Amino acid sequence: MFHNFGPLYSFTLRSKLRSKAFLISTLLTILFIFGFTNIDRILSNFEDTDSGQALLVTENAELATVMQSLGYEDVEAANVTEDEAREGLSNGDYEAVAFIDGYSARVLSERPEPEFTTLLQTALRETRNAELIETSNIDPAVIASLNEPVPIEESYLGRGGENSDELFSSFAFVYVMLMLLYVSIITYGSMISTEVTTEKSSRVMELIISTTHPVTHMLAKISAIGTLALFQIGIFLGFGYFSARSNEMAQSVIENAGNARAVLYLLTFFALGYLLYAAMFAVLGSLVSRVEESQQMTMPVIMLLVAGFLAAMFGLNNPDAPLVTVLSFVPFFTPMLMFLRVMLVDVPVWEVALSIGIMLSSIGVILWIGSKFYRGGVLFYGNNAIKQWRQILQNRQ
Amino acid sequence: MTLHIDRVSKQFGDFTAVDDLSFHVPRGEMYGLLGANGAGKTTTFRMILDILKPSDGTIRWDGRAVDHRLVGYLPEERGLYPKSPVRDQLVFLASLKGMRSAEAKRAVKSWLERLEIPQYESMRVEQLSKGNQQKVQLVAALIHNPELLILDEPFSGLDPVNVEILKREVLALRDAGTTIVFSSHRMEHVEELCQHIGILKDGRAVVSGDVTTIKSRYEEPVLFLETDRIDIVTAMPFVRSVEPHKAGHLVRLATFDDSDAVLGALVRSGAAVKTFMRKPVSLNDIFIKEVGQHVS
Repeated sequence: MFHNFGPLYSFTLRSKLRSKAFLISTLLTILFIFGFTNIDRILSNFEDTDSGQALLVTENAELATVMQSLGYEDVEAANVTEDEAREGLSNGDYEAVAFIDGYSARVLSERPEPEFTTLLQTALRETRNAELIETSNIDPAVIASLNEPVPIEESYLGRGGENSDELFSSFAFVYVMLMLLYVSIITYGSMISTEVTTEKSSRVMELIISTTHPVTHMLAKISAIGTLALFQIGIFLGFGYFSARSNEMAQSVIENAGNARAVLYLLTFFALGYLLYAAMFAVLGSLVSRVEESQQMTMPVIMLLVAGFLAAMFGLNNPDAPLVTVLSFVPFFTPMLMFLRVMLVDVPVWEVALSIGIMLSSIGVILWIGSKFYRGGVLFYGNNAIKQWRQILQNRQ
Repeated sequence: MTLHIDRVSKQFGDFTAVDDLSFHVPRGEMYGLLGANGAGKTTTFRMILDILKPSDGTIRWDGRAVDHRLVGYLPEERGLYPKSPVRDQLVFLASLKGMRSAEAKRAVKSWLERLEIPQYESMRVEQLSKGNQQKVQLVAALIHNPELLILDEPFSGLDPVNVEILKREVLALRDAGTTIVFSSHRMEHVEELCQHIGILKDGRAVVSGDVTTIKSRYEEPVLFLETDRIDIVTAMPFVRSVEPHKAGHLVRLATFDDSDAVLGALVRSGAAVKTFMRKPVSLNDIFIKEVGQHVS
């Protein structure tokens, strides 16, 4: 039954690896990962780093010093009239001029200068507070203790992590992996249905199906694209890991959440989810005759996936909600929801085993149904395959 | 080693595509299956290949179920991977038939040379002309030296030069002992190549057997004449009808024995006779008579 698996597998994998689309999508994604992991550095290049010169029109000469101590270097006290200020501003001699009256100020500038305004506000408040404290004769020690923060140490007993840092890491890890699962199932799943439909529309299928059992053909396609997916995702993760080494947040997520248990569950649910959806994509791909139609046909499967993803987004905040627990046993949602649960709450081993069992048998059932429809389906070139299911089944009888 | 098709039927729901069809093809013979579009030719081929299961009847090769590795198939709708190089996909398709890759590579080379297209070995199929794609498809069908070769409309889309190349190769294969079943719309190809034929109409074999025997059964007492004195012929009592045909006339007699009298009368009157022949029966005539429509 499984002969011809080898040739089909290697031919599919080789044509995919050699295609320009593969090269381009890999390079583009690497570029994207590089940009994403270095987003802080890239953004900082766009920031206006040299704050322009500012003038303070005030009798309090200390104010400029306070501003400088707060971090606004290029500021000085000067005595200019409003007209002179306007002219200087429009010539670009300075960026902001503040007219100080007591503890209030009026700022003139060409554009909003939020950094200057905020610091000016802080400087004025500090000067005012210092003066208030001095005139009221309050012990500076009292002020210091008033400003002292109250420490609270939290400890979480749940699976996600002992403190908020660890919990955040688990969340971020699960979130990123759910995204990855969702995106890769859609990408590689539609690749499979397109592959099958292309073989059908180019009529190569007639040659293949006369030599190969349909289940072998499906499994060969699924494995070949699966290998491609592992290879490509491997490249992305490897590159992402190195590229994110300089990113502190990503680093702490990797340190806190990247342990053997997480990787094991991730691989298990990734593989099962891929198999289940890939089998559905392959069967649906065999029912349509043109690539454009395969998109329509696979819509319901994509809807299931979207529903699972939305449930997972809800579950991220309520991992022990009864709905999440129930849905985590539905095979279409298990890869996302059970993964999320084992990462964030304590799940009994039998529950995990049961969900994996359900998934495996569903994959078996889909492949079995698929093999019934496959031969009939690949020879059927009508418009509406769903309405013709009876005929498709009869084709083979 | 004979292909036996025995009382085979195929139903799709209420529609009967093939109805109680029987024929057999001995080893090294070429069998031509004729029929209008939708007559059931492709369905029959698909059943021989076990792509479809017959609703009824049996199909046997050498007394056993047909083993796909011994069969070569040229589908009517040509199927190749457009983006893949010629050599790669031929080696792949050969490996599906159980050939080793080194052996397949050698076979690809020699077949491309025999079909006079060795220069396309590493080109993508989509870059080839339609006729050349068809040659590649043919290589895919016979690369593994099949015992039984099924060709569904092998000549469609080929120019006359390539039709000759294909005929040459098909005859060489037959002489080497390959059993060949093929379908065609082009009656002259079938007439030239096949010893046995079957004409399908609505899934039933309306005519079947040896080409010469079939033809003799359809011969009619009709003469084709080119002469300047057709009026003499028209006046003769045993002439049933005279109708113009091409440069001359078709003359229908009561029996063919009367043809001597016609020729005698013409000679006696001193008429110029350019052509005097019995109208030959072509498969095309038989086909039109039985199927009721012209297809080529």
